[in-house]
Amino acid sequence: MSAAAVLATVTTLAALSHLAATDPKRRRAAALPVARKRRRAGLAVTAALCPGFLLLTAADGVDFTLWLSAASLGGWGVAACPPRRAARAMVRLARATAAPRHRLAGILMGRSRDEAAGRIAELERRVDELQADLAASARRRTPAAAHCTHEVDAA
Amino acid sequence: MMQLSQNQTKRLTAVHGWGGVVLGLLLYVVVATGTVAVFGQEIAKWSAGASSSRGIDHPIDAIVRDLATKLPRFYLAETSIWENEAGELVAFFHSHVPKPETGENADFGTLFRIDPVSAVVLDRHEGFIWERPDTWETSALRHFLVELHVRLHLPDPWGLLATGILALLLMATALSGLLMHRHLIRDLFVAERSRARLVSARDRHLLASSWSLPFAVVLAFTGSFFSFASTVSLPILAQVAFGGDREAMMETLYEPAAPADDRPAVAADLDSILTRSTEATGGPPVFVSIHGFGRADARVSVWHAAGGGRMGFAHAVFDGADGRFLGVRPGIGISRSLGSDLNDLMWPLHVGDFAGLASKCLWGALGTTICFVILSGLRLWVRRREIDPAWRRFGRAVTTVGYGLPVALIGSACAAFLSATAGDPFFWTPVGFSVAALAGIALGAAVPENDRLALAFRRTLAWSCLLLPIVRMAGGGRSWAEALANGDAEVIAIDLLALATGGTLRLLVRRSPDRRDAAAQLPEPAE
Repeated sequence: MSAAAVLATVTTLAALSHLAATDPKRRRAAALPVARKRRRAGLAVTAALCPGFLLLTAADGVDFTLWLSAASLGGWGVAACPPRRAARAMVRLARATAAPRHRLAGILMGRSRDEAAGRIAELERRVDELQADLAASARRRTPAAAHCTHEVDAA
Repeated sequence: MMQLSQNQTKRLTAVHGWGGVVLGLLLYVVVATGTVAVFGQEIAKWSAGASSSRGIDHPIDAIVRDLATKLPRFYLAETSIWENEAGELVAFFHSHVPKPETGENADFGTLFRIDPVSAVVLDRHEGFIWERPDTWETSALRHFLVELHVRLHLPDPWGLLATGILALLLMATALSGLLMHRHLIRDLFVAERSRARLVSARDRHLLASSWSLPFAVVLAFTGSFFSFASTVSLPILAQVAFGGDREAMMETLYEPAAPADDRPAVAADLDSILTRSTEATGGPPVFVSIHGFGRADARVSVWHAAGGGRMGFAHAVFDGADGRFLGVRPGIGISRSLGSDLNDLMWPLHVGDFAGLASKCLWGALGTTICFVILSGLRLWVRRREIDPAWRRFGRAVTTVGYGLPVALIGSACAAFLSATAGDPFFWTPVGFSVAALAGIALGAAVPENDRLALAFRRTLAWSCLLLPIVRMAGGGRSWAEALANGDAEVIAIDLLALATGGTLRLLVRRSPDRRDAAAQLPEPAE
């Protein structure tokens, strides 16, 4: 399997993973909340199909056939993966790759690594504080109070 | 997707469902054995203790020339040369002779198996060689598997017709499924919902079938093409376009015969031809055919495996007397065309042998997906009719065939290994399959409850897989150390695959809850 076919397959599977993770029907069927990140379905579908088109035009039929079969197989694997387990895996992956991603973001933005990492750490600390405040205020709210609030909101 | 009326959907559902129910189990047998047969070359190395790339990679000219001088000229009408998985050079000098039983022309001649390094003749057979696979086939297990996939071990032409009809059934169910499924794109990512419900079984079937649809169509089309080519298409073509003259048809479709000139001539150097042919086409030479060896009108055809960005075989033709390169010919027709290009794609698209082990692994995995689709479809059909005892019995038959086939295949492999040194593996391999299949059927008949039956089969399959490498080595097969020393990673890889499958099944069996209560489930609506 050539490097081009491997790269094309990885790109397609990444796009398919995004489509699966943000698919509204899949999330609804698994009783998951609506995805927070934007779906950008058109862009993702283009990213999934583009590698195949490029292989067909720039490489040869062998690579294209390998890509098509690997994408079919990988697509099934991505779709068949239980959504809750997939969501947990995505969170774990995001945590594990947070540091290198932040570093990369710092480099791409043209700032020094330390400066970028410092800013990101500051932001994350602030987010943690806000989440803690939110959790504390939610605990203070009794069910009756929440009910009243809901009625007020409805009114 | 296409909007269908309720009646049209009902009719399509009937075609899809009843087609699967009537022939689905046979289709499963053909697809499952085809999935295993994708690795035929690796299985031959694993089971026969052989080690070769199958490419003709030794000088052969002196060997072939020496053998040809010892044979009557009658046998030199056609010469076929290839290298088998054991690394032996095989040369078959033959002519076409009417068979006494049928009166039809068949290849009759002398076949030599030669050590290509020392040029020593290891074995020699004469007669209608193709009827005796033990003379030319390295692995009895591979031969059995391929025959089961291609012909279901039925006599010609019925076996090919049967598998051709099954391929058409696969096409019909794939296309009817596509038309029936109104939300194919929208449901492409809908994973299986919570377990033990009818809708879960439906989700499983839909998801696997949606993703494997392109492959199923390709497999079905190419499979029916190969099954019907020699049994239906070519005889009809000969009758309609050539007035029944098959010779004329073959000349038009493949290679026009050179003007007859039976004067003796010194044959061109085969080694030089192979070198130039490899330069011209890329890919290793795997088969050489010489028409009229030692005659002035001799033609040498060299077939090369996929390589250099080409998916199919390449066929280079040389003048057999002066060694002139006459060009690269398409698989069909005299010059390249869209039809010949499509024809050349049929074989690699069917067997997945176009990019080494990577493409074979992908094809094997996609074949497994189709097996899953067939079995999940049959189980879904039964699940919807579970209230009827007849359909419950059919459900047990699905479980018996689903698990019984792999068990029977392992039985055939065990028989091949154990008879390799002391018996005739070409006789014992089908016997091993039959015995294991009968044992599976007996188990299916003895256990009345489907879930317990599945559990018993999983247990049997797990132990069969775990014992397979041990039986192989007990039958005189290569040890891992020998395989490593010879660079035969296939031997270790297949052993490890069997152990991993057995281990996984053992884990599944241990984790599976007691399902006796599950049998009390009542039928429920799909949605």
